[in-house]
Amino acid sequence: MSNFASSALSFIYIGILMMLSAELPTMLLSLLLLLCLWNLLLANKGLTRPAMLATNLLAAALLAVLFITVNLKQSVLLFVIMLLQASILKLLQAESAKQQQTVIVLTFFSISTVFLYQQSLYSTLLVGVFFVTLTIALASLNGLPTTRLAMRKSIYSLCIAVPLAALMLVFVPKMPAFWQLPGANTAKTGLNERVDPFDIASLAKSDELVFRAEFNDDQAAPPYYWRAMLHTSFDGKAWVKEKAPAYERQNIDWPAYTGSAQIYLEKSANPWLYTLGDGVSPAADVRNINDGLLLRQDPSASNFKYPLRYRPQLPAALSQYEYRYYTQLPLQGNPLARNLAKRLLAKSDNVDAFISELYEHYRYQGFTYTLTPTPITGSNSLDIFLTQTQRGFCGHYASVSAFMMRSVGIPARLVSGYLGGENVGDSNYLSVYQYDAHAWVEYHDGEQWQRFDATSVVAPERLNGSLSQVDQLQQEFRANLDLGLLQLSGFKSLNWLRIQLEKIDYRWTKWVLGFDQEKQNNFLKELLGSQFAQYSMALVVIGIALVLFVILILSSRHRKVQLTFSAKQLAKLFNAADNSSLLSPEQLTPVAQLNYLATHTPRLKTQMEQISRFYIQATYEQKPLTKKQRSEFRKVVNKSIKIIG
Amino acid sequence: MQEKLKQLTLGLADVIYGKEQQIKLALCAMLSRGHLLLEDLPGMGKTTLSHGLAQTLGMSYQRIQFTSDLLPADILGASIFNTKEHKFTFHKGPIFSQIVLADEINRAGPKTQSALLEAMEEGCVSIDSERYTLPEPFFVIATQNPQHQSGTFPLPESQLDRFFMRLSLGFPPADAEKLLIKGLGPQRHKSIEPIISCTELQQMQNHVDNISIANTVVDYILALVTLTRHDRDITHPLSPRASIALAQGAKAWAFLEGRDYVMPEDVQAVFSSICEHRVNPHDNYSQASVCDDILRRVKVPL
Repeated sequence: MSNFASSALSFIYIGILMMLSAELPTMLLSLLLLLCLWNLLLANKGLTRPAMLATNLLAAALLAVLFITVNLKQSVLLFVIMLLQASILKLLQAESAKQQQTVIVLTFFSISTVFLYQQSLYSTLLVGVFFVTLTIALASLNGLPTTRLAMRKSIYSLCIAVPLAALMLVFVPKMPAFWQLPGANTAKTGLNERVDPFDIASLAKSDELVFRAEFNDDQAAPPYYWRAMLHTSFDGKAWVKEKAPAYERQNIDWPAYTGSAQIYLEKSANPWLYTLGDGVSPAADVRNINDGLLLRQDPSASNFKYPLRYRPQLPAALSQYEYRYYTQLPLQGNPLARNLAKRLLAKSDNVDAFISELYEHYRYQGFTYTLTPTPITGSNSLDIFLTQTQRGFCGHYASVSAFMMRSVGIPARLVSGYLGGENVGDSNYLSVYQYDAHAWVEYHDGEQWQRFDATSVVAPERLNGSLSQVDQLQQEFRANLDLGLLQLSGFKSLNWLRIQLEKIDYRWTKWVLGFDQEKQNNFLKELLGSQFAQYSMALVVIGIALVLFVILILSSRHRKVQLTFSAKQLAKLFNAADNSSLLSPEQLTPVAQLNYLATHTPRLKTQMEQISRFYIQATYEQKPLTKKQRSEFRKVVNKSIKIIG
Repeated sequence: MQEKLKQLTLGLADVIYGKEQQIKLALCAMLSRGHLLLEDLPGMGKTTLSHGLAQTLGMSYQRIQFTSDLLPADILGASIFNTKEHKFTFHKGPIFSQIVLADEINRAGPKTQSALLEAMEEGCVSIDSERYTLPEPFFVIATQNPQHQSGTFPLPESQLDRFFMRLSLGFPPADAEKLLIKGLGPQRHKSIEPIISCTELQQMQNHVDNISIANTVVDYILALVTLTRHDRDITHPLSPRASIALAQGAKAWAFLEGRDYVMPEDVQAVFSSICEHRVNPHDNYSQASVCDDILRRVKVPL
């Protein structure tokens, strides 16, 4: 049985490592996986376990690898890996049932570390599977003879735990954390502070969710350009994010912001937030900064939501300083691009005409949209793109366009963010994934900032929805994606399945992960009526205490009458025999009592022998009765009761 | 293994007549790695039994006759100055053998008694800050005369608790005694062939450890032990060491019965021997009757 527990624990740790594989360094990951496999081998072949000295050396080596491969600043990751290492090494050593119980206790913590990095519905389900496996292992260590019995017991206890957990989620007062480690600095993003598309050969994008937007009205219409940050200076090769610190906006005219949405952000360590056009947010931990952008007060790695108010960008004149700021370029470099811009400007006399000339140029001069562009190295990369390769994605077009505008004195800046999002069915929310990352240009036409997106002429389909929905690019898009359900979205049924799962995940995020203090307060207010609202927490605490008290009483009473199947059968028989005063007056053991009945009441002899065989097998030998034996047992007991009666 | 066991009981029955139950209990103590206390009048065959056990099991055997002037060094051994090598060399005492018969243990003083009892508990002795491990398996059979005889130092409760079992042989049945009188009994100097080896005994001990014990039986043991702790007639209730011994003894008994699971009957069979010397009833009860009373009062759980 202890072999079973050991193998189950190995599988759990392999599962945890796979779930955290994106966070762990490859070397460490493979070492830990090897240790798990080794333990699996030891458990199943019954080999001797490594000596204390060997394990200690192994632990030291693993620690050394840990400190070499993981940055010391990532304290959370460091602690998580140390916990995993310690537990896996302990598992490798654990021989007796007691040692394995220790590892099981540790594993309850190890499993929970997954939630530091993933909180989606699927990871929760997977973690649930781990917990069931773990409790099965625990039950089997505690002497439940078969795995099936252990599984039944484990699932039974989980079924009790789920409503309890739901109750706690809804009613237990939510409190701020007493202390906090610095956030897990590991969340990934499709956005980068530096836009340098030219040396990328293949844009491998992930299908990770970035955020969901739930619109409170129906005034929003595609295309959805989610602005995240501005890149305002060109360093000769790449567009770089504004270095100057952002300043808070004062005197916000709230009623003017007519658009309204709720954003559910996935795990992220980045400070920037997403907005449509000019956006503000009344949330306390969101900073409303210049250019209608939003920043997070405290970027830590947990799910986050904020209300968004937005409106189109309004006319605003540029100051002298701003004009110079938005037209500055390096003195040298990319002469062909500068020339082309000059020629286009010569054809037109104002800014609007120049913009349409630029669109025309992209449209008719053989430019194509691709996720696998030819990499361009060396200086003057913009020239090479414009005149030779002419294949690229949004980053290429945005970089070149902004450069050309600035070279002829039109104020321009690069914006990065996300374009589109997937609208599932008829729901009013959008899911935006990492592969929706986009870059475009904003130029100032003398009155206000205007959007310029060359992708709209090179690949107009891209504007209508998510990248996953653009037919023309689908082959290329899928080939670039990590393996996942989305890759198979060509099959109708699988796509349907994907969309259903997506809907469930949305509800999970909204109702479970997003159930915060505010929602809880509102819920309790509705439940209790507003006059009791101020006592709501006290009421809840008293209520929960009452529930726990009742459970305690019920369970202690339950334990007294708990009898196994065979014990019940025997009790039934002895009761009947006692009523007919056939039992021995002395205090005898159950088997001796059966023998006494057999010798003193000869008509019961065969039945008693059979009963004592079944009883010994079930109770003392601890070999569970088969279904057939159980029914036979019951039959023979009933028959003897009939004979007695 | 069961075959060997049968031979062993038969061989021992040849050595001491008419005492099958006591032989079985003594074997039970050996299989449980516990020490044995034989309490009886002189001349009842205590020495014969321990002698027979040692020889049938093929183990080294030493007998120590306890007297009031016996000193710890007489049991454990002593460091003696070697004039040729100019250093102390340790001379092992009689305790360095696998079976030690401590005859009439209650005739020696408390200091000597505790020297033996410490070795029993630890499995090793320390002399001059040097540790010496005792041979494996290590088994002590102590005999004592009934407490009321003159010139005895009774063992205190704490030391009695270290003995796994206490047995009294009692008078032999009439027909067995008849054989003894006729001189047809076992000759004192007749050599007995070893029936099992030390390694076989250790295998059996390991097998006993692995015998499974069902929850109901554990509950039964607990109920028995708990009763002594709540009974007003008992001033000295059973310790956890006693309950562990009960479980272990019941396992060994089940093994002797040829089963690999424990039944409440096994617990009842060993209960008196294991618990009699550990309970301390009020004056007007005898230890034996208290144990019988406990067995009678506790209902065996279903």
